[in-house]
Amino acid sequence: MSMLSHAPNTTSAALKSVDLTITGALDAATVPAIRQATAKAAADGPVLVLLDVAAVTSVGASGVVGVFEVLHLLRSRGGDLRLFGDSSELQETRLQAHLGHVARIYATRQDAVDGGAALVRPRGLAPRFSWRTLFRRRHRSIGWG
Amino acid sequence: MGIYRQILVRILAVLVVSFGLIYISWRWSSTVAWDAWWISLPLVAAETYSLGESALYAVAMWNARRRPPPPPALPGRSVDVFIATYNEPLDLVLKTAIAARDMEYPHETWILDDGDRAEFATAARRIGVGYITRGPEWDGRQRFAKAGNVNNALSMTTGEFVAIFDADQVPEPRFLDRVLGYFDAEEVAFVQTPQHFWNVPERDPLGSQAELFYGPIQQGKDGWDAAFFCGSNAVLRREALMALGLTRYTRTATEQTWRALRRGRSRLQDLHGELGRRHPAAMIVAEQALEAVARAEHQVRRGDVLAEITFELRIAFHTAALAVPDAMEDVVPELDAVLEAVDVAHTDQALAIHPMDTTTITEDMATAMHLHAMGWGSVYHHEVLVHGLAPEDVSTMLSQRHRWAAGTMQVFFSDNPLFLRGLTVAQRLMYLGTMTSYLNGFAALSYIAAPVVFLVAGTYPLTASPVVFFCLFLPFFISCQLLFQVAGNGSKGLWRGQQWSFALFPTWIAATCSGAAAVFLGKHLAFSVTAKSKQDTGRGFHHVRLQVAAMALLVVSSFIGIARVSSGEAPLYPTLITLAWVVLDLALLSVVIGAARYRGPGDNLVEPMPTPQELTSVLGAPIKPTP
Repeated sequence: MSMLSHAPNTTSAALKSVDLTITGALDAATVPAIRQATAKAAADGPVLVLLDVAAVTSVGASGVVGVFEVLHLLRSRGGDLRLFGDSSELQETRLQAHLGHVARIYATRQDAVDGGAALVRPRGLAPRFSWRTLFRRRHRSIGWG
Repeated sequence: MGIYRQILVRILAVLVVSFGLIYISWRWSSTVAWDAWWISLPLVAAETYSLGESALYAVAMWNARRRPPPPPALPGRSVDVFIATYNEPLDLVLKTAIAARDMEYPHETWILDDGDRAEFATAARRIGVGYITRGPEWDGRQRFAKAGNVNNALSMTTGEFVAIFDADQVPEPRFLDRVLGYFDAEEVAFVQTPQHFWNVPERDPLGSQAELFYGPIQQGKDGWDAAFFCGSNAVLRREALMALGLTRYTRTATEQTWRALRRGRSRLQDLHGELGRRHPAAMIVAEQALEAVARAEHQVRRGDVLAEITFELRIAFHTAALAVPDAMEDVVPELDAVLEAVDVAHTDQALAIHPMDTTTITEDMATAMHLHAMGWGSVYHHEVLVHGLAPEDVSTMLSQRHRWAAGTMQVFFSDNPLFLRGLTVAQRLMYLGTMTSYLNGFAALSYIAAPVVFLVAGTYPLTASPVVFFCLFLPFFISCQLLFQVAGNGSKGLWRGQQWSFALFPTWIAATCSGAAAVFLGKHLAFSVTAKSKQDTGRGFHHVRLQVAAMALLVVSSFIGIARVSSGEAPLYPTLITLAWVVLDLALLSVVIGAARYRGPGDNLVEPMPTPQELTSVLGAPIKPTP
């Protein structure tokens, strides 16, 4: 599927935008609704989906994977997904820490529309390899934190 | 395993390692025949390997865990039950699906049909189970065999837990009730139950009933929190799988983007050269695209956010392409290909994230290993709750073993547990033990070649007094066998297991080479689905011809050796020892005779899960494909 031929516009601000909001848990049960809404919105051409995550109260790995599937769907059709909103739960579950170098959660809707206009260097997140830690029992971190 | 047996196992484990170290030290220091190093060194290396395997077995058995009955399953869990199929017949899949549907704990059942067969969709609807097949997003993309099938289903379902069954593995109604209770512990990622095959006769000529593995070995691994996930008859926690997929994705995202950018630059340079000959006016597009790639590379080096980098790259490509409209046909396909490969959302694949490992054909073991490395726990529940079908001919059995071994060796070479961050030392050893067991093919070759060389040519593979040899070798050998029997804890087929471990040497060697070629030479490893019906049974000996040839060689060598002793050309005692060795080799290899002659189970076997009436009515009615 052509990514270029789908996109009639050259900037994200010029893409047709669709606003979605997620409240409560971001997990396997809630993500299908976002996917459905996104697929419907993208059916007629590339769209920029702006997902407000300010009211997210908990985050599961399934939810994050689901968000990436939405990004995958949109990008393969010439569009994009931007997350915005300040959610302390997201910070506590280390979503930013884990995904910080892959995607960004913008502070405001306008920042999300501008997407990447004012880039800030994210934190160094990838763990470094060390021979000394090779045989050390690792502190258990259940999940993806 | 009772406490007294456990103590005995530990005593024997210490003896095995102690006697083994004494023996192998003596072998390396005093007995290597350097003038015949070409046979002496492989032999002593094989013995060292065998000691290593014995030690790893001892470590596994040291901590064997027999779990108490699990807590009852909490109500209200949501469970998806997957039945993975590719080319199995409808009646076989439906029988499993009906049994899965009828499990007592509330759940949703899905047939995952990788064969995309319309009659399966219709039949699934008739028996009231879900049907999932790959969508158009998979067309022209890598499919990743069973792992891709399961990942596709994971992306379309939402249950907290996922039970996975192969198409021929029929679960009992109580299956979920018996295993879900373990998930009360938040760290448990999966629960594996035994694979038991009802179509295997008592003598088990193909060595299908892996009672040692689905018993003491899994219990030993479980004791070290390293129970293996075996691809079927297991329940997994969705969050664990998703966390694994997500972690791998984010860890590798930068590296993958970087690699894709480098490859993309190379493709664009080629495009630039080609446009110079074909369409010079369009060269500016490739030049601008190359500038954009260079900018993106700089941004990746700087640590910018990948989603933004790749979006910006797309805008740059788009702008460049629009600048020369009549060049679109020449440049867009190439620019698209570069963008798809670079995009952080993995638009060149059907899914952005693959929870089940897709890098190997033994996705089950690789997935479990990475879950363990993330700190997730596992459970081996030692109770037969599922009744399956084993291969019924030697050809299918060999193909199945080759796939297991090749996939395992692929992981060994590409993702070695010794270097995987996060595993405990014991977990590393448990995985290493399973992987290195397939190197036994090379050791077996030495154990066959050495007596042949001595009997035929009189070349000593070691230089030692027979008395000293026996004094040092026998304690090691006997303690090994005792450990094997005691730790086996009454499992059937211990001797049969040893026979197959030795006799499958051509399969192990071929699989090791395939695994190495896949990793180091980029050769494709095919996922061969195990046939569920008998295959070309008339050619059994053809499939074990190498083993038969080895047996013939050993017998002929023995006659030559006896003749040489009779004529005074060879010494008596070393020849007698070597003949005993040949007898052991022949006893091990002889298992292939019964396997080659095997024509499937008789009619006296009783199916433990009776065929449901419903199956007859569903199959009896004409099945019209779903539009």
